[in-house]
Amino acid sequence: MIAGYGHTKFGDLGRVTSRELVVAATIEALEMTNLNRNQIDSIYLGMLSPDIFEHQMHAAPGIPDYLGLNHTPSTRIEAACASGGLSVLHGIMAVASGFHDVVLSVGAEKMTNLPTSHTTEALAMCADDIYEVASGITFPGAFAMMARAHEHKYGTNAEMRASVAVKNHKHALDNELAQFRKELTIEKAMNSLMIADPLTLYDCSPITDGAAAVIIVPWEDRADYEGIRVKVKSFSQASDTMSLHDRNDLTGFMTTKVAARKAFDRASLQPKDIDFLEVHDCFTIAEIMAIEDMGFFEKGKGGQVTLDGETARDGHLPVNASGGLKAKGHPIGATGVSQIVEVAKQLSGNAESRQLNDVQYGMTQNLGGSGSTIVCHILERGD
Amino acid sequence: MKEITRVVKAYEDAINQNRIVGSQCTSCQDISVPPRPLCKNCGSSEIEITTIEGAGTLLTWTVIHIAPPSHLERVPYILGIVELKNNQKLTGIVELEEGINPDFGMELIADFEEGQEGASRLRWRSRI
Ligand SMILES: [Zn+2]
Repeated sequence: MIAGYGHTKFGDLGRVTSRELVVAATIEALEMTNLNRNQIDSIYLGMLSPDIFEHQMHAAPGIPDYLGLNHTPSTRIEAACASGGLSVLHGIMAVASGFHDVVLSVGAEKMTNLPTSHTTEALAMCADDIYEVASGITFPGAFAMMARAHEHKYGTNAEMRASVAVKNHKHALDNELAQFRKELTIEKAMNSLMIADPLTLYDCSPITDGAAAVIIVPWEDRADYEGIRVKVKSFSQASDTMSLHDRNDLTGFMTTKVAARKAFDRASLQPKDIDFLEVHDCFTIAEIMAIEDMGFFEKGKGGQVTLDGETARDGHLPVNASGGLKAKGHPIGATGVSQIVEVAKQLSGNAESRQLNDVQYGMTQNLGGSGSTIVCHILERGD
Repeated sequence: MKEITRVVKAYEDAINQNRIVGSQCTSCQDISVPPRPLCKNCGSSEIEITTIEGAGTLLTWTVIHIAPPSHLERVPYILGIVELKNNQKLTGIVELEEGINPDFGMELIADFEEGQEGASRLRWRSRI
């Protein structure tokens, strides 16, 4: 179960290292519980690239170092933008195996040190270097090609995509940790700078610094722990080809379908049982494809239902009540953990002004590369 | 010791000679472009490198306005996914004549840019 969480402000945080961000998030998480830092048995650190962003390889030992821990094992997990979700998944497996009792899963990224074009290059390295990067692909470019294919097949237009951004910006108004806390109109989103046609600036998540942490302990031992009680109902992971062009369908991700199906099966739940979602809206089209591929809406209808308000906080299936990657911000390694933190806040009644009513099950979808890695979690409100 | 099957080198060498190659399985005849060390269909490691016709159709595309440092001088440029004759696909820059716009199903032929190396030499142009 999740016993505690911590989450820094997301945004351009100036001169600070990812290690310091992780310390802040971890201390906050520990203070929710009756645990002290010396009781952490193992650390899983989700980070895309301290090497490129901070000129620091071997970042994992830097976490116990700055936490003042003696010899605590610490492992970095890299799965592009799914690094954070995967660090949570491995933390859960370590506890579920019985090998560890208290695990810290944390994600972080310090991205704002580099000029934008270098950050674009670093992110593009998550694509296939031989067959995509050498050809001039960018991350927005890959999703733009999917957006065009989705529009061609299903009619998902710029207004529908913009409605994802408008909704998530609106949600972030109630999240004091979000990078952007300003309302956005459909017109402004549609008329913003072209990044990779047809995706404009407001179709894209921003470049962000931040960290998020969760403390994972055995559900069976819950009586021993103070803090929140949010049960891990299931988790899942799936992989697909490195290159987007090697897939049969360019209007969605088989990995999302496979991982979501596994998560539902392992939890003995169905989409109708889930009360709210935090999904990976690195681009507006990604949220549209996610809610379709996870099985919540018919394929091709994701854009229209968003435009119709069905996924708004007051809609029948709230999606990204936190503001999502789009408005909350997207510090790559932190994102998957931040999704878990938001679900844990909602399920423990700690989401303050954005609290959803009567929620029992929340689900996450964290995406790496062009959907080459997907990680899903289903969490349940504890007793 | 099992011999290393160098499919990436085969692909890059071929592109430098103005050809596209794939791998063909010697047991089930299935073709993969780009080439793979194991057959995608049956898993066999018995593959041969074979030349593929440099022609296909445009499946989807984008116009890149914000590029990495390696492509900064090219913006804006069209990047597309091209479906080859054997249902295999490749990602590449599409260079069209003035006045011709990209379109779904547009017929394209492979071209190779001088002064570049490896996969980055490949260009797709409209069939005139
Ligand atoms: Zn075969």
